[in-house]
Amino acid sequence: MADNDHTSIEELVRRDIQRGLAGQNIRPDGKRASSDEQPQGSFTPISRSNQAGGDDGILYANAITGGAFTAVEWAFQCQHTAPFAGVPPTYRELTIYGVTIVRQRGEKTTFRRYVDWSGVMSELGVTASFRPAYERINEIPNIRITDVTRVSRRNRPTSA
Amino acid sequence: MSGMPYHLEKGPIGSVTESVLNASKADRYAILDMLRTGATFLDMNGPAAMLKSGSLHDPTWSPTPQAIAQHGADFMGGSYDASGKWVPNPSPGTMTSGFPNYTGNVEAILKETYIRAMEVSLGLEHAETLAQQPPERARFWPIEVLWKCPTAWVEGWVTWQRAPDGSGHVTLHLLTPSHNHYVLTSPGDGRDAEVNPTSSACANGMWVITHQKNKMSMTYRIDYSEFGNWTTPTYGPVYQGTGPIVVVSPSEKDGGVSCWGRPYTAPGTTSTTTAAKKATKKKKAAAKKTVPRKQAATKKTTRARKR
Repeated sequence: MADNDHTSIEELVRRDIQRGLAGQNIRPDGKRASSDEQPQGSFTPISRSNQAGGDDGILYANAITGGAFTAVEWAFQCQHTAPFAGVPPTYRELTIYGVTIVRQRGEKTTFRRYVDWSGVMSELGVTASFRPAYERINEIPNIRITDVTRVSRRNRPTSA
Repeated sequence: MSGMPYHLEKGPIGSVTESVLNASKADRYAILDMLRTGATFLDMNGPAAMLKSGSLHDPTWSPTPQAIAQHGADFMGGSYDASGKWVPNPSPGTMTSGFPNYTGNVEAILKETYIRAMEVSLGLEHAETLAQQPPERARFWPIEVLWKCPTAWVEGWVTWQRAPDGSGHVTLHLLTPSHNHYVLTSPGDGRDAEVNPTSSACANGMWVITHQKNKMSMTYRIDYSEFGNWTTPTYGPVYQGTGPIVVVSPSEKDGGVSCWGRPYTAPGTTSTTTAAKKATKKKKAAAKKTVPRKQAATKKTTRARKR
């Protein structure tokens, strides 16, 4: 638990993670939602009785507040058990790290979530390509362009 | 092979390799025998001698065999120890030495790929010698060499096809992660690329068919949303194919292939293609000199008529 007095927002973010990532049928106030509101989750929390923060898989959720905006840093320990971003379940265990900004305007509360998705994809074994793409040949840094190339390109047909 | 901006490449080194491997059955078998009996892949007096080909280098400045071998070692990400054993770098490479996000024995993969491709092309069982081969299995199919980049890790592929008349061909594919290369989203913008070719009369060809432009975009944006409403991210860039479908024949310097390939020539000698280009250049230069003389003569004649 965080060493500040913003526990209500921290709890709200915990529940947001449980619903958004784990697909738990939970409402902002912590009560169960109706069954027709069942969300789709891709990750199952890893519950460990001895882990700090309980059995919801959330290792920590620490808030820093600035009036209407509160930043909550969190970590969620889980297993990938359902399709996520086009990746079929890998059943790998991973920890997802993120920061959620909670904005409170009157009665309305919204969330902006900065998550280390790149780390998540790497954990799931999604490969990355390292060939930067350029539209034009003369934008490519390490390629030599001659005037002949430029002239011949001008006369080239562009459509099939 | 530097700065080839397409996903599939052959280029000068691929063409010269084909030229050497396809020159004769005896030459091909000699290279196979060297690789089978423990020659290092980068032995400049052995299997890698083709890399000294004059047609790969500028005759006025050619790298030493040692420099070529070092370039090859950098490409594969490792080095030979004193006993001649290949030692891969223990950690992932950079863009100029080895491959980012990858460690592995690239030399062994390449060696095995070449051995297998040559065996298939000659109709040999694995490790079988020509002397042991029954005559009904004897063959000499051409080998094609292609390089696909990028992939997640290094792989060699050998594919082949036998035609109903008994002829056939073998393709050796080398798949590697990226290596200090960029890629063009508008394939027709390559150096001297031919867009929408119509004839396949050449002995060699490589065409890529895609949209005129593959527009890169980011579809995932972080924004405020309601409780529990998590947007599924899109990992990496998203491409949108735009414009008409084009057929592009990349130039050899961009990883394509010349109409008649690129022959192996003795170290220090220029290729026949280069020689032909030089001859054309001389002809053009001579023609340029002739034109002003002709123009001057015409002017004189006109002035004389006016008088």
